[in-house]
Amino acid sequence: MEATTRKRLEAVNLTINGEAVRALAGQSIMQAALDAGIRIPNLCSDGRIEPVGSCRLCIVEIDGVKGFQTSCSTPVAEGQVVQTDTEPLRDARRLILELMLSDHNAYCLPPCQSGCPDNLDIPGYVGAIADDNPRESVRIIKQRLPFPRILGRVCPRPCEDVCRRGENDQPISICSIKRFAGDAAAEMGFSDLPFPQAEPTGKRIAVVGSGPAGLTAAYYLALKGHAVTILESLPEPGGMLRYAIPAFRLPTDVLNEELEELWSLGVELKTNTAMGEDFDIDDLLEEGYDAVFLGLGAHGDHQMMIPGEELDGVVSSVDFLRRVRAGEKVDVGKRVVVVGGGFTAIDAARTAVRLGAEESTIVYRRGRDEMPAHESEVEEAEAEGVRLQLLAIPEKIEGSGGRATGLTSLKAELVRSEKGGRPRPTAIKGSEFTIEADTIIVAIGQKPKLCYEEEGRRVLFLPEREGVRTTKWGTIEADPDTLQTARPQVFAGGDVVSGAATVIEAVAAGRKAASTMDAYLKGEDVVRAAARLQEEQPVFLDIKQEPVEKASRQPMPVLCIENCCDDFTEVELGYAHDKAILESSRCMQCVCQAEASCALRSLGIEYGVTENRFEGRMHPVPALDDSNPVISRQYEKCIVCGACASICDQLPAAQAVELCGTGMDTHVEGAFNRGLEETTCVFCGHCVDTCPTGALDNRMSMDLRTLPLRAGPEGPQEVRRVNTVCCYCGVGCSLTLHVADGRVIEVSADDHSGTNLGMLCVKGRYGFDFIHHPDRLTQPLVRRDGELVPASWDEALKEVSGALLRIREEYGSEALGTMASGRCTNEDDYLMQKFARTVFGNNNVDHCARL
Amino acid sequence: MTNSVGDLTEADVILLIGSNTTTAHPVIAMQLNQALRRGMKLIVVDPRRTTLARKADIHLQIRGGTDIALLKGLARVVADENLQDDGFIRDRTEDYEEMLAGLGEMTVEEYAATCGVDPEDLAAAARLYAGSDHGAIAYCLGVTQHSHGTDNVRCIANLAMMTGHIGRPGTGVNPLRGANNVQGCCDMGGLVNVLPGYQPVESDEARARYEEAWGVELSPVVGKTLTEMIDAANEGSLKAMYIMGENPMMSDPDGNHVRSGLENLEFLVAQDIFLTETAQLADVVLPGATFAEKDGTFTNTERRVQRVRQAIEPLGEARPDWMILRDVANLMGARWDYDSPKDIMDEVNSLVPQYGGASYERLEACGLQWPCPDADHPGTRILHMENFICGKGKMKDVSFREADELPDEEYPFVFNTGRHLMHFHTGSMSRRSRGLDALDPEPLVDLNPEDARRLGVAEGELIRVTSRRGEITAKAMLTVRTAPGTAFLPFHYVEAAANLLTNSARDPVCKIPELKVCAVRIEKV
Repeated sequence: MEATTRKRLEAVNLTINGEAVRALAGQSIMQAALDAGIRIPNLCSDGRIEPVGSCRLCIVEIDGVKGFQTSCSTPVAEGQVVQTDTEPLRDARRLILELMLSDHNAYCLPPCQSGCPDNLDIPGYVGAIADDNPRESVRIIKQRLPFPRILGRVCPRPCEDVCRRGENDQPISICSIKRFAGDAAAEMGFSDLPFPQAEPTGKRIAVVGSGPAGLTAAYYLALKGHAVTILESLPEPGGMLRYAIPAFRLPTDVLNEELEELWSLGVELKTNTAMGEDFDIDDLLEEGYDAVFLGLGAHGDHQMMIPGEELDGVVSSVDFLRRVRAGEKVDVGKRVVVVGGGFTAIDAARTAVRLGAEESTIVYRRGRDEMPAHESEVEEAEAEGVRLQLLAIPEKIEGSGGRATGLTSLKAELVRSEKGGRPRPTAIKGSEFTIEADTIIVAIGQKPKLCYEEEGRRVLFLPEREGVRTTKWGTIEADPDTLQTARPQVFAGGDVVSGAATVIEAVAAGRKAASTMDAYLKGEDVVRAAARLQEEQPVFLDIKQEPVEKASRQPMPVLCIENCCDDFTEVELGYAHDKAILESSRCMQCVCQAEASCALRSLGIEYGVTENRFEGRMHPVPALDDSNPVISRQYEKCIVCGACASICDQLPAAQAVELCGTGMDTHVEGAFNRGLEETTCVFCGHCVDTCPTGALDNRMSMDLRTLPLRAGPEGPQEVRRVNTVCCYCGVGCSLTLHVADGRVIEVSADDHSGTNLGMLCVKGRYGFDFIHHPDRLTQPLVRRDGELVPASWDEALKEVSGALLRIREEYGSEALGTMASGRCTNEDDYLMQKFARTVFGNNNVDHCARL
Repeated sequence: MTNSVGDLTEADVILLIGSNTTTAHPVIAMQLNQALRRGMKLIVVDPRRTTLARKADIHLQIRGGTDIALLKGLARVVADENLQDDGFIRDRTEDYEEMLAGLGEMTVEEYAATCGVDPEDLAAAARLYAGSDHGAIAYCLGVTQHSHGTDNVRCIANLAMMTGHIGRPGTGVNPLRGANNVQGCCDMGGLVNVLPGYQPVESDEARARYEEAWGVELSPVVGKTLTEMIDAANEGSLKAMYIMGENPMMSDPDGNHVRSGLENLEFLVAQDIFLTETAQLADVVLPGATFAEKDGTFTNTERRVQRVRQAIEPLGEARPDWMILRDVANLMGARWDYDSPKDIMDEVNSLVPQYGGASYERLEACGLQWPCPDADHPGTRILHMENFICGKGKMKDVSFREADELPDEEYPFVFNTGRHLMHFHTGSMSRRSRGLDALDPEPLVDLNPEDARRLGVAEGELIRVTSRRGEITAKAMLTVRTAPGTAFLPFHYVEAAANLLTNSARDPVCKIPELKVCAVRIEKV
């Protein structure tokens, strides 16, 4: 040993990437490079063990040596000239990564989540329903969306378009599962809030507009302890949810019930109070509001700009739907034409059917596939008798005596522009045709309405003196990241900023505004708060996970056609319990809990590997008993680097896992391929520690760890690392506690330790959850009538000191004894013996040294 | 430990006595396993065939409680075969001749027969240990928890000194301390006979030093040990106890005796993180903070003082122990003005010679091994390099004696207690850790298959284990880890508390109870 120590002290000079590097003889090139601040990519290297050398990503070029050499296992030599990052090396590494990933049967993050404007944790809440736990499902949803019952009915579900299950059979019914979760939880009487409401901050916030953006902002601001008042110009809250979406899609009761939670948080509501007419921004700030959120929505209609639009019987969809929803008697006549292809057009056409129209026709410029409305809505409309007139461009509204009588259109064809982009509908000359109509409903889009009528004049109610600027598209100008307007106290979001968009986009804006406004009110940096919400967009590798078995999506039960068109009863009935569980179980859970720590993923991203060039057989994965309570094994994610087997052999010297088989059949296996308990495994978890992917993971912290996906309303949580000493045996291993949200979520070995040299045992690594065990004593207890009952500290301490003083007085010092503790700190124990010796006045102090 | 954990594996030979290192000190066991791969030799002395015993070059599977005979037998072989280190004996020790004379108590064969081991193995072990350049002894509670534990340790010291295996790297006498800060608690004076820094309470000089610092007159009378306090509580002379972070109901011998003692107190305060079996008997329970919720220091088995750092806020109204003690003391008339653990360590630095240089400023960077007398001292990796603390190392002969309670017709089995890998001490933490408890969920009594066959007990069947003091019922695990005629049960499980059975007979000097040997009867339920 002394001889090798001396040899290691010899200095060696070499050149790495043109830099002169001084290393010690016996060091590997990789270590020498690392010491010089040069990182060489690798997956299987672990400083605590001998080089494994299997991943081959650490290859380098050495002058005068043919071929690439693995730097982890090649020692430095005097005068060596090393290159670590040449184009051929990068090409080779990319190829190695592609080969690994072609056989890495797992996902990182799911596309459904990034496809959702609000980034809902979809695998999380769908998985909770598969586990028959609606309460947990709703808890996960409400981290980002306060209204699962509403959105579960009306969301345009962009997530389902990108669902990976769709590549196999059909996408998961994500939206309907959300509805089931919300309804089931409500039915179970689960009305308590999923998150604790913060103490009142004393700050007051005015939210103008009670649509989805305003309601969501109000919800999360109220949770943060701010006093929120919503100002709504219409008689009831909900915005477009109440005044545009018909009751057969979103029953009024459901809307009212789900908003109850908001009022129970203490949010105030003032209706029939319109901005511009009853108040302006200056008034709000003068009244003492500390910040204002503008969620005014898009209540203005786009016009067709064709002749005849001014005729009686031509109505805007917004006005039409609002009047129906407000309970006004609306006579549409026998024949109705609706112009447009979105949700609103479908809603208007279906509403017309319910108002007694014998013919209800949708006229749309493009084809069926291009309709923005969801396919299921189109199908339901057709089932109810709505006729589609596709590829038709409205030309003129026919009229007689000041009343509209029909719509004349030109037939169209879709022509691909030379510039690319969406094919444009182009009118076919001479193809005019007319559809007779008593009512023509224009549903070609909405825009914000930032003006009101005063004595026949249109008055813009956001004049520049208010400090809030508008854009040339008639929307409010707000920073896209912070949603702050040019006036710092004023934030804005939803349709009034984006122009008419979807409900879920409005919710996302409301949640974002709540975070940045909270930061603003606390005097924090708003830009930084917004950056916290930015989530790293996952890079998807085109990999080959397949569902265990094919299973079609569960159909949504609907009201039978005979019954559905007479009134505004809800058409979709929602999943029954068993169907919801069946449907959720179809979810492939395209999410890896090791996403944040996976070295394969980060190198894949670094080397731009985003698709799979290599199709072919994948290495067989052993069927596992994966019931171990501390170590999770998912060998389909294994890249067979062998680091786990090496570290198991070298650190605990347990040899519980090893590489078995040859060639394509090579795989990691526990002895006899049984449960780990039946091997020589000591559960020290070093294999988990060194695994570069999620193949081996710490089951104790899998659920506690913070994925971007599972982050709370504030976005990704920060994980703090605190170095300390283990609380179990006398070895005194140095530990790092990983802390998130006030909880210890994981333990690792502190690399800078003295005694344990980067090692831990099963207790050190996995035995930390007692800290948060519900049995913990969290308040003093005193015995009253034979029972231990909670008491205040004051009461308990007085009881202790009083009794001890009395006994010392009555029986003398020797009647008192203490026990210090081998579990407490030196400081605690020092005080305990000082207590015995100076307060009791004896040497009756002992501890478990003898036990 | 005279030496350090990292230093242990530099030995050529380790003589490991009464330590199931794999379960009680797993990270040291990992380092031993690695050293075995590199060619280190290992001798294990243990009545059980532990994992390390299986890997050892020589396993001396002694009859429980015969350590003195074993150690004297080893010394006798060394002397008979002239393997001792004469230079070391001459320069560093005294009373060698008297010790040597005492070895004549028995022949090597008689020593071996007393222990139940092969005399050839005994001789081979002595040759291996004494003949190596670097021989280290490591031991644990299997040596000390006997009615003759102090004498066992004396024999170990004799052996190490006569072979010169002390004061150098890879040698030494190395007790492995059980709990995270049991070393520190001793250092801080959590003992009946010494003030902080091992200053005897009977010494006028030592007391004067602390009296000056603390401004109070101190008692020169050695206090009552834990087991003596329990006796006094049963007798009625002890009226109140303040128990911090200990669970004697589970950890002390003869659990029924502990219960009656604690119940007999007029007033019991328990300060803990859980409502332990002991806290359930208390009149007032004060909620303490876990290691993750407070600042401070722990001192490990190799005397390394290390910083414990607060990671989270204490749960609910829980408070750090030092703060609670300060407040109780002040309500009782003290004037303690500590604002933080650092204030307390400042006082320790000024009063405890070994901790003189172990300030928070220095500990921030890395741990320090005491003695570390001043701010510039680098700490001490190996003790006794030049001299023993008292000058020359005194050798002393002791006579062999049996355990207090031996098996007889009524109680024919020897019952031994200890630890499992997944759990810790009385289980109040590890039994509440989901993963650990799932891996080792229930008490299993180790029973040799031969005995099981005789008793008609199959694997997993319930057995009743009865001693003169109590009985427990648990499932049997048939294993050759335990020798015929013996049984073993760890003391982690409240549902089958091993210490209801154990004997509270004590070592006359340090009052350690004999937890490793008692007599029991075993029946199928």
